[in-house]
Amino acid sequence: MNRILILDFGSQVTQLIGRRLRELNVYCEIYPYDKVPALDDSVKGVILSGSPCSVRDANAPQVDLSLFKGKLPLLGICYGAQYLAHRCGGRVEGSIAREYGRAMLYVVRPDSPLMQGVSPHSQVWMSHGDTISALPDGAEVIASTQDVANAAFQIAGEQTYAVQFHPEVFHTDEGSKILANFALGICGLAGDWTPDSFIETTVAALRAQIGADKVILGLSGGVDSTVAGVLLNKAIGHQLTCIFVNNGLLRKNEFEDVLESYRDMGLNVIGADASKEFLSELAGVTDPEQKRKIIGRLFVETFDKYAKQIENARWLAQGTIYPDVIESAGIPGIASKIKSHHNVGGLPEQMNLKIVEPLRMLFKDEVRRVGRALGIKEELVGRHPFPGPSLAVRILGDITEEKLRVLREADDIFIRGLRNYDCTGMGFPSASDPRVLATNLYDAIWQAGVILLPVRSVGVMGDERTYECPVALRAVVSTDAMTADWFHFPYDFLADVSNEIINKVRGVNRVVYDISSKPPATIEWE
Amino acid sequence: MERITTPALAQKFIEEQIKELRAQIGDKKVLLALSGGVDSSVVAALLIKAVGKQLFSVHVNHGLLRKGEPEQVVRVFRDELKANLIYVDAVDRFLDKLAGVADPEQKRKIIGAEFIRVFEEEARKLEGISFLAQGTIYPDIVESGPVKSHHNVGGLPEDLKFELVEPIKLLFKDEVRVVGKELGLPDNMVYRQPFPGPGLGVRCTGAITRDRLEALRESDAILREEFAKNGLEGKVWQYFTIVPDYKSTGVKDNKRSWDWPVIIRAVNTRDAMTATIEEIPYALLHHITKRIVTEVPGVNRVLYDLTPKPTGTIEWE
Repeated sequence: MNRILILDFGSQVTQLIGRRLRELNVYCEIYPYDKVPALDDSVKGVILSGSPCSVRDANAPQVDLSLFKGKLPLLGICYGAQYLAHRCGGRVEGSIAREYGRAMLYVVRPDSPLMQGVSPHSQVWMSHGDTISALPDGAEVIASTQDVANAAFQIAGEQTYAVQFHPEVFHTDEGSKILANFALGICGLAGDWTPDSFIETTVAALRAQIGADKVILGLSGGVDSTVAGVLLNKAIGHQLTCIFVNNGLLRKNEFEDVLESYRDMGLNVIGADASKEFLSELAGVTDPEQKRKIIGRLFVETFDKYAKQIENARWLAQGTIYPDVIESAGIPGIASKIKSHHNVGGLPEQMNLKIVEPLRMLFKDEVRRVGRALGIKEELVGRHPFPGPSLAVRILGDITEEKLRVLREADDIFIRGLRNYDCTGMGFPSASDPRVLATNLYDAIWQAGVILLPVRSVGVMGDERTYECPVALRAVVSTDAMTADWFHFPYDFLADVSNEIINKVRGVNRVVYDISSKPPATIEWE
Repeated sequence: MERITTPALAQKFIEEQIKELRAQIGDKKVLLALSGGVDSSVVAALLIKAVGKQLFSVHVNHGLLRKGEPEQVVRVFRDELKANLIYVDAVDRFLDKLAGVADPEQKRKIIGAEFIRVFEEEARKLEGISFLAQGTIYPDIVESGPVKSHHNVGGLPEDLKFELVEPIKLLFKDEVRVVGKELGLPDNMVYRQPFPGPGLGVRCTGAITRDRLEALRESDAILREEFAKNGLEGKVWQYFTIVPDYKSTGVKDNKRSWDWPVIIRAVNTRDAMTATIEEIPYALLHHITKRIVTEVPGVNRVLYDLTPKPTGTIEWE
């Protein structure tokens, strides 16, 4: 597979470079700057990312440019551009003209391969304190902003380009055009990394890897495990056994509905109903950490019990996706994030299974595109993320059957309301496919749910005084779940849905809407 | 009775009341519990007009008042209106009594009973009081049926036999405001939001603690400041915050936090019997949320109450 390598110097938006390229149907991989892989023939170009560091710092991250500069097409972005200038005879200085946010870009050399078809004036997104005061040897300016003359340059006789701004962020109007010029024009990639080509090559690869072995997969009802299951089913059919655990904490009718969908798609699936065990062990437990631990342990036990019944299983499949896999760049003074894998932990060692992760090179939106190409219905492909401990983290305090009933009813009204609200023409981008606008509120939202609060409040129904529970509605937009903003509902939707919940759900007399961003709040409450 | 909607009707009401109050009170002394809310302030102003220094106003600071409120009551009534004002600092006394009490009715009863006790002590210090004035308004009488028990109806011991003076008991809130305006009370008093007798006590839900009460007072002050700055003061009937007794997770400085939420309540009504929520512009809600989570210690989340009355009451407890 022909590819572009993205070397990460620790910028928060490095992953976006990868996602923009993938949207152009260009395959790419992200590596930390200090772990450059072998540059074989499949590598058609290299991109150097931004960084929180300054090239003038003593311990600034370094890379051996001689590996690829002058040999392969090269694009430096922000820190990457400054690094090229700094190392190749130019000069980088701390600047008075710091630029953060929007700036207007003027193309100086419309004939440059990087600027082909880019409009003469366009908005770009800047985020830099340092500025390139002198270009590197052999370089010429190809675009400028009002404050920064050397906003983009190219080096004569090489396929080396650099931009001070961030073409990968949404606010750079011509960003995708510039990245396309680099990837498709300069690197000469075909743009043939499509869901269909991914499915074709992955199915072949899975068959070669697995042979006649048996594979076990835990299905959760979520997008990732569903797409992994359908893909494996296409590759190896009933050598795959799926286990779908009912922890008793799923949404209203979810276990039955999703199990039926899986069977309709021809998956060999075992419905493992352990709801009684989960609820009896959770009785009276109020501490959130304790709740999570019990659920995690029981999940492994249940999965284990059913998995053991599958004789001669050799592989455990997981719905791991690329953001779980990308190693973050170790930047001096900045602690790298430690990823805790929410996928089935601990099982392979006990069961002596090998791991197969067919989606490990895909971003979330690509998983959805692949799912759609596989013919999986929109209800499953466009599904919001759902926490592993399920509704347990949305019932603050201890869990009872009655509280679950109340929460399920309220949640069902909220989610159905989202799906049924036509928001065509309201300008909300789709959360499952950022290239289009959403037609219903469910698709405009990243994640949504109802939380049952552990207090009671006074109300009046008819002439009676009530003393019942409030519920909170939570709905956020996000691109990566690391940060999230609460969704700006039309007020008529909030009025209707809160009214319906109060009128129809026995035990609820009040509805509040969570208007907190992450940080400082989190998407889920526990 | 015709609803008081114009200055002329208010003037007529005031003249009638002054006549009636003078006839009822004569040269005797009147005692009034002055909370600083519109109702008791209007009663005080009526009585000051009718019987002047024969009125003795007692302001009890029970620790459950809004930020800056006790100070303002002293400034307006003692300094500006030159009334006989008795200020009682009973903060510790109330909060100690309330420690660990989670049941709303119990809390109301304690606050009500303690209030009567403090008030009684002050009453006994004064000699020759014959009348007790109260800011009872019409919805109080209607609502004290099955829904809530209002503390300002009755409760003093048998031996303190006062005759009641309730000059505005047949008025709705909007009428009280028209009368207050006509009495020459300052706008910030006339249009002051209604405030429950148990004060912030019913908004610090469950068992009251001093730190959570402080988070409530601060978040409420931020909300009021932002509403005033953004033209919502006087437009929105009643707005305040609630800090419930539970916590949820959040992230602060890359670390997990475990803090309280703040609930914003903002409702519109003509008469307090029914209410709908204010559709606050989202840009302003963002700004208020940001200020609350950054400025108020112990808070990591903000919620907006969507519930109309009915089915929710305006207050949470």
